[in-house]
Amino acid sequence: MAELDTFPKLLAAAATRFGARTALREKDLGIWQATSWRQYHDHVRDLGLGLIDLGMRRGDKVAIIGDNRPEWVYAELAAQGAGGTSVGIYQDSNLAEVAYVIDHADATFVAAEDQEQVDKILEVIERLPKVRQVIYSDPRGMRHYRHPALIRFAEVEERGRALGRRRPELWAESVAAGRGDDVAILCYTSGTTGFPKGAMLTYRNLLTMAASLDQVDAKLPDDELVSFLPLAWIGEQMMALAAGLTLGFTVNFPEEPATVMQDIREIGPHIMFAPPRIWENLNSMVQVKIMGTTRAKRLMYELCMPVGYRVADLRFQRRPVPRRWRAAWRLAHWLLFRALKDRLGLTNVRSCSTGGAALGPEVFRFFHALGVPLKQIYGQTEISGISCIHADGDVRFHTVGRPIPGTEIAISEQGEILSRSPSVFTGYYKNDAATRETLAGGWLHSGDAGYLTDDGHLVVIDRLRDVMRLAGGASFSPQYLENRLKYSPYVKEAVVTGKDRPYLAAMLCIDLGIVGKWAERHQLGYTTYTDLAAKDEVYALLQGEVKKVNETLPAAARIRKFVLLYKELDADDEELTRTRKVRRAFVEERYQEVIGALYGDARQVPIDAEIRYQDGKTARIRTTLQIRELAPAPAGGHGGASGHGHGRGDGDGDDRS
Amino acid sequence: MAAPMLEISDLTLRFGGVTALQEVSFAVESGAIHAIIGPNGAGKTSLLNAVSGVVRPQQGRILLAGADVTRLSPHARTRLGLARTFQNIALFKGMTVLDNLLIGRHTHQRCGIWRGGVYWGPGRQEEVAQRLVVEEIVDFLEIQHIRKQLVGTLAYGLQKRVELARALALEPKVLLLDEPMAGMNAEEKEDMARFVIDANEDRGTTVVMIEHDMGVVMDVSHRIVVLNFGRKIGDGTPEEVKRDPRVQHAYLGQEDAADLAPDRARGA
Repeated sequence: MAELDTFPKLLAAAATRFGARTALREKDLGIWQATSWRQYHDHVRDLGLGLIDLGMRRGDKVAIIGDNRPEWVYAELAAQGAGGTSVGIYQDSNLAEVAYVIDHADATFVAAEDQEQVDKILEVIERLPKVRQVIYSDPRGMRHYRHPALIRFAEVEERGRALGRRRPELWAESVAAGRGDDVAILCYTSGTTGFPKGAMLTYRNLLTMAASLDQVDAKLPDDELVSFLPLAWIGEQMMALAAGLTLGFTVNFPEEPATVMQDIREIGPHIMFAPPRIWENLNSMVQVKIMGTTRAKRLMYELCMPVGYRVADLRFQRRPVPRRWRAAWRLAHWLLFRALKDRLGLTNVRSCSTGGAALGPEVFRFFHALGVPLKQIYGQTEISGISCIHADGDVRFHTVGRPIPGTEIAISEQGEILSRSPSVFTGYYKNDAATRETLAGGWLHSGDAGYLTDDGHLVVIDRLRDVMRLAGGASFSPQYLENRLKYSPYVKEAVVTGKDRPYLAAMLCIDLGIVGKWAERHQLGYTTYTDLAAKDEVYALLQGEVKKVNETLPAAARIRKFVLLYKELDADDEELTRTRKVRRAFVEERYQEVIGALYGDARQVPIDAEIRYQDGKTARIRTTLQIRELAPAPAGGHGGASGHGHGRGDGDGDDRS
Repeated sequence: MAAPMLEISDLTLRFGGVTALQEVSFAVESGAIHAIIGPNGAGKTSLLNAVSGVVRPQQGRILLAGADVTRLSPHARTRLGLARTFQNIALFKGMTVLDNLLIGRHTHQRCGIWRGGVYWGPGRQEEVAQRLVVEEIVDFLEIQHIRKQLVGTLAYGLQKRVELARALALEPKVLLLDEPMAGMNAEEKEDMARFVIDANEDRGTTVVMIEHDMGVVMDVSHRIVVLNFGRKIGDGTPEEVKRDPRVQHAYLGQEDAADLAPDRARGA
């Protein structure tokens, strides 16, 4: 093999080079079980030969669905080594989504983790004539399953071993036949509009991305990564596969989704790449625990944190940190930060970044105060996940950093962010129209509005099509406002409306955990989410939060009216994408009565809606929502003002990494 | 199937003047899920207590896998392969989930205080072996995320699950469950029903279960025994029991109950 230009070639080389060193770890029966590079390679080879034995041909697609486990990556690399393409499916996808992706991708094999996933596929298998075999790895509860398409993971490996004995050279030949320009993965983007599109990414796309990113954000072979975000997501493909195979660090798989935080603490990873909600959760977890701890510990927290914030702020402003502040920070580190970072599993973290949506400045400051160098990443699936990142020591809240090596960024006349690099995808699977549109003029059209600062940092404002105008002509970015609202710990989701309307209004979903805790502390009894969200006290609390946000905004961009929704927005109701982004058009359609009331004179709006539970049962909700109006801005507001000037960018859109 | 796993014949239990059980006989096949139902005060828990040895019946015999255990103490029956859970959770609340399960392994431990007190050697090997069994049960019941938490701090539904885990840690031949789903919400019930079925199918455990939720009982059990005022009034498959007029009468107390029974019984 002359050039290591595919994942399976890299794996074969790593197996020779690293041999018995640990490649993967999975916590099983309470113990971290290690898999060496050699074993990793052998599993992939056996499974891949097994697929060939079952009739897989070069170019076939293999769909994979399940939690993060070694078997997931074995299946991906086996498919690729056999000359095919892997198609990841989000494990919490519902039946329709699973059926759509498997059918659209023309998958001939499906690797499913367990009973839960197998049940989904068997439910729709009549509509999937192209699927030949469903391979499952965890047989629990499937004793009585007799479907002819089902086959056990171990059985496929066994067939592969038998084929390997008959034709010992077959696997090496099959791997060697792979080319860097072959499509490695089909990455279905969880679009905020319409059906998901399958982005075709080649090995070259993914490997150049990993190499370029490594130049600005180095990773070492001794590093540890905990792979806990969906492997169907480009971000996890970047880290656990592309970077992991290139650089040879160890990838750890948690025991269960419920144990992720404990598992991260046990591993103490060096690399963390997570969407904002993970960082927000860590931050709010600390706040909640500090509220409930002993007075001495709370005092320590209150003494040390300001030191951390002070030093972090100086660094953000790129001002020198005086020696006494450095000494104070050292002391605070020994007294508090060290222990706190250990609890969060962040003791060793060196490369850590957030991407996919906006992260509040307060959360950024919190981690930097502790000495955790959190950075913002910006990119799309279509550019293998990343185009911009903050450089070390050059982190700014409102930018997403500079382009990584090999990447060019430009802004179109319409204000759209364009990018160009060897990592830009080859097109959408079976959708030439969308490909032409996205790659028009040789640039990748992100669909995001943004601008470049004088020193080359990219600022992202919002989705281009979401930048809207009020009836009065002032333009505004709903996402910018929504993010500002969501920085409040009490607000879980926000949807701002106002297109062609006289003023802005917001529908808010409270955060049940935090508002619930607040209610408890204020001795406010409640039964359900709906009940809590209808309380006058909660309305007053949220009104205060909205007011605070309004005070930082120009008059025309202020929220005039708001309402608290009676349920959380949910991906299962198609209100959010699987990566938890609001599907604006759908939500506005669904809540049109509420929106109508926000722009009418009514103080209340009666609701009679059907909600569906996860198990398919439906229930009727009858309630009355209050509409709250905030005092209008003082007269003489300057028209045309908007959130743009300092729109925090962060790449929130349909298909971001 | 071969000889029954549990055979109860002619069992009578009195507390002073109150007759809790009167001449109750039935057999539980090996590998079955056998439910015991009946109105409040019918003697269900008394029956379970008699089987597990908490109370001594005045009359009758209890055979466990062919051996007469009527006169044996509860811990001797445990050693023969009998485990149970309680209506009101009976766990050590101040200990972790793991420790509770390891206590469940007590009857399988061979090292005494001397060998167990020394860290090295057989004591340690045994500890590792027991932990492995316990971890398999932790995995089986999906309680990895709470394995190191104190039982007293857990939600009720989880404590119920830990109690089932503790009983399974004994690796029993016969598992007695006293209202495993009481006080649970729909989702927790569904999980628990799945665990009972898995324990039965994947681990081959014979299950005897008292349960009030008729939906669950009809779905998961192979056979059902119906008690009323200490007497057995029905015994058969779920279908047979549903159609049995005496059962309908006991549950509904009406002459014309027969018309309503199949639907009403579910909601009972």
